Amino acid sequence: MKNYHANKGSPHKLIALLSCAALLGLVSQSAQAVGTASGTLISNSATLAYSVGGVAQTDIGSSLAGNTAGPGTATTFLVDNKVNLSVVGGGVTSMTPGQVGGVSTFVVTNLGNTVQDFSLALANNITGTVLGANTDNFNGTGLVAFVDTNANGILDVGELQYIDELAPGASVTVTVLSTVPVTQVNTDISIVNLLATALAGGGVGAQGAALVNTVANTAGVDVVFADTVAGTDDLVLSANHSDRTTYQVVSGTLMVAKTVTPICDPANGNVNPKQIPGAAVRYAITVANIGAGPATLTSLSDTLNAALLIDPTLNSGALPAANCVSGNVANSLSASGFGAVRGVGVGPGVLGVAADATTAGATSAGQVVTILYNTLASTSYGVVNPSLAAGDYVTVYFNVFVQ
Amino acid sequence: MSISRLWIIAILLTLLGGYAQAVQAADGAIKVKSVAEVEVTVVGKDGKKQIKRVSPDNAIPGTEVIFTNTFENISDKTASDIVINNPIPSGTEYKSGSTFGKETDIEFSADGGKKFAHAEALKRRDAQGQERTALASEYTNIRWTYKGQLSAGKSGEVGFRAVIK
Repeated sequence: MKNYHANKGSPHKLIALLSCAALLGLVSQSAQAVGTASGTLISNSATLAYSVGGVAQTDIGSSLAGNTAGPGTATTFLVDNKVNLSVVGGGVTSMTPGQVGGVSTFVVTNLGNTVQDFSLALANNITGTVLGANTDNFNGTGLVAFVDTNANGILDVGELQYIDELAPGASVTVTVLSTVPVTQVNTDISIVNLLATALAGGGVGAQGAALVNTVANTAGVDVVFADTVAGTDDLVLSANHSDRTTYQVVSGTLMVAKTVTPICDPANGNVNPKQIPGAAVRYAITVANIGAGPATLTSLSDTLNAALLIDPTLNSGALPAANCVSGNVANSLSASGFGAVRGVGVGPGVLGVAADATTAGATSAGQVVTILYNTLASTSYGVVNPSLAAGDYVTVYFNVFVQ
Repeated sequence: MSISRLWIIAILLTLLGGYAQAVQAADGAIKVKSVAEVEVTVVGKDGKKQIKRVSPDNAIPGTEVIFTNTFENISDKTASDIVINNPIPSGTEYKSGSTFGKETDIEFSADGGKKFAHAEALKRRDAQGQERTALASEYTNIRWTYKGQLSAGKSGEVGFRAVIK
């Protein structure tokens, strides 16, 4: 069973959090010194004052070749293009089996001194890769990395699958999507790495060309790979940096229990009732989620033995014994014949309070009882909610008379 | 540049020109040269690593640059009162303790060359008005005062290291 409800809600919250994270990231990055911009001319001039024969002479400025008069010429050189970047992955993203496009995020920062583009490459890490406490055992599908300009968690038309014109010291949040095969089970792990590669700026809206580390230095602006710290899946001095993120499968595990308890019989009432003809017994069908993730319940049906007659009024079993008959209105707990309750744990066993009386979602036709969890409602059950959180239970109960 | 500034420069140039004419005979007495270099490690033919100085064609933020000024008396007269003033290049930060220059008295300025003092005596006021010793990173100028006289044909060398910001 899948939990569509919870997954509709969570991306929005996630994106809200991510937006905050991105803003914080940018604020902190703006304070990050990344150095003098490439192409900056560094100029040096010295000025010498002197006297000859006790008479002060005109100052002489320096030059590269040597100057003998006048202000001279500054000795200059150009600051080269320092290429450096960082990629930082997010935490663990919980996914349900079959979930499409689960969002994880990375932050890519330009640690160089030049406006640059960055290409983005995503890859599944091999089985057995360890990240934190998790070990990879499956590959996600449909991997895609992009800059989610409108922060909706979806790759929209016009959103770029590379980083365009990132200023020195600036960061950008990269959104990564992965789909979990429906065959995966609770606690399965997929580890994915994002490799960013610095490229030439290339102008707004155009992915720049690959950078080549200048071998022979020139007097012009050379390209200097300065990424001296390797990421998870790259080498140093490569204009690359990488980090990993974890997708964890979290799914519900359901336990279904059906209990039966005598309520009353026409001879003893509710005092040590016996299962004689005419006696009422109560069935309670409990679905408990003992898994790690939420599960969405759909329907359940139960076919009763032909010797049993469903009580349309959910007899409470209260004395006198004469009231222990099917359809007795005086002792009725529910006009629909069913009670429903939900809570934390694996279920309370047999209850019997009027607040549990269902108004929808539980019906009987002949010997067949049908529970539709997407409409099930009662006062104590609360609002209609087919999603069963991990650790919660739903119990539906009804009476039958032994014929 | 404003017109008024241009006027001031024009006037200054005129004054300087007049002054230069007055002492024309002495012009060209000293040759002043400024070189910027970086150190690189190279492996020699014997397999040993050597540090070599090369022109700063490979210069990125964090690179340490050595600025060397040489002065040579190319006249036949002795020069005296030699003072060399070198503003720290914009885009670089002076490396503490890196100045060199034989027979010179070295002073620093942290206010663009208005006031010079020895490193330990150079003071600055912080935002609260407290006086403290200026940090090497705050130096704006270096000044070498040559202690002796530079006789004909003699030369000297002063310099410092700075890191590209």
